[in-house]
Amino acid sequence: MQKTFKLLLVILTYFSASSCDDLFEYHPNQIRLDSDERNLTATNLERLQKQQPGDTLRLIVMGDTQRFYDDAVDFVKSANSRFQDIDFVIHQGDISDFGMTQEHKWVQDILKDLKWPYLTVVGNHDLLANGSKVYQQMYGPLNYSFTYGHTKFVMVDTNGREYSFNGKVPDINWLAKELAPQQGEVWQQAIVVSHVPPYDADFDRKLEASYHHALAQSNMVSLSLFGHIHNWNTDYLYDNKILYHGTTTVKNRGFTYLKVWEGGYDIRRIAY
Amino acid sequence: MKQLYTFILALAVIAALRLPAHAQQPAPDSAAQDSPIASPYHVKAQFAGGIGFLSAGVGRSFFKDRLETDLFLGYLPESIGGDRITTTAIKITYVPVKALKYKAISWQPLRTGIQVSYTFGDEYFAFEPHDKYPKSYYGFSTALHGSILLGGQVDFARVNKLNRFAAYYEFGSSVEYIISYVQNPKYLGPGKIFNLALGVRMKL
Repeated sequence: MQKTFKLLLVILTYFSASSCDDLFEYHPNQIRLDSDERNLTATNLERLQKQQPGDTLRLIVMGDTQRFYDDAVDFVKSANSRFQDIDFVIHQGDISDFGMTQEHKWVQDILKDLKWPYLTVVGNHDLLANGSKVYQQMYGPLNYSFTYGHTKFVMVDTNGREYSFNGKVPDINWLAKELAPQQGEVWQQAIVVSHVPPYDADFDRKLEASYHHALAQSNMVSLSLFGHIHNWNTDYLYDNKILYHGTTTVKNRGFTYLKVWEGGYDIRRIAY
Repeated sequence: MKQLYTFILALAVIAALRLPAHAQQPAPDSAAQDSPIASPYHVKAQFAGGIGFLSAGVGRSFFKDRLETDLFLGYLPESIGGDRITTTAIKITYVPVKALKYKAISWQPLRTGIQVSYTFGDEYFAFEPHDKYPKSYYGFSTALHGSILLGGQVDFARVNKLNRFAAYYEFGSSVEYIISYVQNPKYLGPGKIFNLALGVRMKL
C-alpha cells in the first residue's frame, strides 16, 4: 500500500509540474490561451511591417482547415519547401470546425511552422458557439485592414447567415470607408478578402449588390479573395472589373500562389 | 504530453499487476473497521472534465456499485475560462472489474463511462435552429456534447470517518475530439484529445 501511495505522490508531483492547460479541460468552449496564442493578427502584422515589400508581392492563400489537421501539416511542409520568397500567407477562414478554442490552438500550432507571417479572416464555423469571442481574443477584430507596399488588404466578415441575415454583415459602410484612400496614405489598390463569397446562399442576399457596388465604386479593387466553397472558383461574377477568386480547402490539398503588382496580379493554383 | 500519458499508463499497469497479489492476502484488520456505507445515493464534487471548473453532482449506484448514474451542474467563471459558462451533464459509469481491496482501501482500477453535457446560453444550440440554417447545415450540436470516460476510483470504505468518501480520476474525450483524432491520426493522438478530471464522492 505504501508503494501505491508513493506512486500517487509521484503522479501528483508530475501533474503539478506539467502544463495543466493540456491536462485539464474545464469546458470545450473555454477560452484559455497562452501568451503566444493571443492577438495573433497584431503579432503577425508586426512581423509583416518589419519586412520590406518589393514591387511584386508574393502571397500564399489557403483556408478551410476545419478538422483537416493532417492536410494542414502537409500544406505547411509543401509551402515551406516549394517557396522561398513569400511575403505572407492568408487563411481564408473556417480555421475551426466547431468554433472551439482547442481547434484554433491546434491550427496555430501547425501554422506557426510556416516561414512567413499569416493573417486570417473569420469563417462561419469560427462564429459557432462562443467562437466570436474566441476569434477576437486569439486573432483580433472580425473586420480589419492593413497596408503592405502598394496594396491595402481589407479583411471582412461576410458570414451573414451566422447573424441571421440581420442586414449588418458584411458592414458595407465600414468597407466603403476602408476602400476610400485618406490623405497621406500610400496604397494604390486594395484586395478585399472574405470567407463567404457574395453570390453564396450564406451571404446576406440583401447586401450582395451593395457589397459588389462598394468594391466597384471605390475604383481601387480589381481582385477579391474568398474561401468557404471547398473548391476552386475564379470568376468575374458581376462585370469584368473585379475578379473573385475562391481557393479550395486544405482537405483538397490545394492552395493559391498569388503575385500582386501595381495594376495587376497573377493567380496560380498549386496542388500538393 | 505524450510522455506524461505513457508514464501514467505505465504506473497504472504496474499498480494493476502488483496489487492483486496483495489483495488476495487476507487483510488481518479488515473486520475491525467500520462497515461500508450501504446507501445507493451519493453526491460528488468534480474538478475539470469538460463541464466547468468545478461541478457538483448527485447520483445513485446500482448492482452493488457496478453501475452509477450522476447528474452534474458545473460552472466555469470568466476569470478562469475566458468566458462564463454553465453546464449540466448526465454521466453513466460502468465498473467492469472488481475493486481490489487492500487493508481499509478499495481501488477500482477501471471505470468506463459516457457523458452527455448541455451548455446553457443563447450562443449554443442543441439542435440547429430551422429559421437560421437549411436542414442539416452543420450536422452537429454546439450545446450537446457526448464524451467517453476512462478512469478509476479509490474508495475509503473501511477507513474510520472517511468511510463515506472516495476519490476518482477520469480521462475523458469528447466525440468531436475523437472524430478529429480518427480523421487526423498523424497530428492528433490520445494525449492531445484526452483530458483529466478529478473528483470526490460522498455516500449519503
